[in-house]
Amino acid sequence: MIELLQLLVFIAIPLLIPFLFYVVLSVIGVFIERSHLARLDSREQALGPFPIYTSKSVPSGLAVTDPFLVTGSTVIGGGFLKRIVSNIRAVFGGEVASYTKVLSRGRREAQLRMIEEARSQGAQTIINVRFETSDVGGGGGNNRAAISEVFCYGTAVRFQD
Amino acid sequence: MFMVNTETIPGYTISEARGLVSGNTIRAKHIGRDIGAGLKNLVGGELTGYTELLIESRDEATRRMVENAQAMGANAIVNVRFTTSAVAGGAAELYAYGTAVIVRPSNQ
Repeated sequence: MIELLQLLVFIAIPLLIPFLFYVVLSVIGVFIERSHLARLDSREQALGPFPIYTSKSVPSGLAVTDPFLVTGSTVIGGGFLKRIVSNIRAVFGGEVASYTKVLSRGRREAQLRMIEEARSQGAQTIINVRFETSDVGGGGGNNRAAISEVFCYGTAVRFQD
Repeated sequence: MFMVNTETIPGYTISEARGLVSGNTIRAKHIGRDIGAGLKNLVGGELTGYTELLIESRDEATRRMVENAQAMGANAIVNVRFTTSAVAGGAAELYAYGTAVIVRPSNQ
C-alpha cells in the first residue's frame, strides 16, 4: 500500500508540475490576449470613422495641407505555448493560426497609435501609409524567441478648406 | 524641417533636389529589459520595454537624417522610408532614409 503511494508520488508529481505550469501560462496568456483585444475595440470605437489611405493622395482628389510624418509601432511576442504550437505546425506545414492572431493584434495596435498621434496634432487623414514587420527575436542564435516589431508610418494631413 | 513620406509636399514646390540622405543607429538590448522581456514572453503579448527602445532608436536615426539634410542645405525631406533589421548579437539596426530637397511655397 505504501509502495503504491510512493510510486504515485514519484511519478504523478513530476508530471503534474509541468502540466500545471502550462495551464497557468495558457490562462494568463488568454487573459492578456482578450483584454488587449477589448482595449483595441474600445479605442477604435472612441476614435470613430477615420479613413487612412495607402495611395499618394486622397483618392477622391480633395486638396490637403499641413503634412507631417506620423509613426506607430509595437513589439509583440507570441509566448512560450504559441511557440510550441508553431513548432508542431512546422512539421506538417500550413497556416500558423496562433501567430496570425498575435501579429494582427500587433498591427492593429501600431495602426491605432499612428492614428491617435495624427489625430492629437489636428490631422484629418493619413496618406501613403506603409507597414513593416521585422524579426527582433530575443536571445539570438538557434533558440531565438519569436518576437516581431510591427511598424506603420504615413503622412498625416488636413483637408484644405 | 518638413518630413513626409509622399513625393511632394502639398502647397510647396520642389526647387532643387539634394539627393539621398539617411540616418541609422544600432541598439543593443539592455540586459535588464531582456530578462523582463524573457519573462513577459512566457505568456506573450506586447513587450513595452522593446517598443520604447525601438521608438527611441528610430527617433535617433531620424534626428541624424535631419542633421545630414541640414548639412546639405536642404529644408525638407521627401519620400522618407524606415527599415528595422535584427543584427547578429541581439541588436537591432534602425535605418531612416529619404530624398533631401529645397522647397518654396507654391504661390511664390
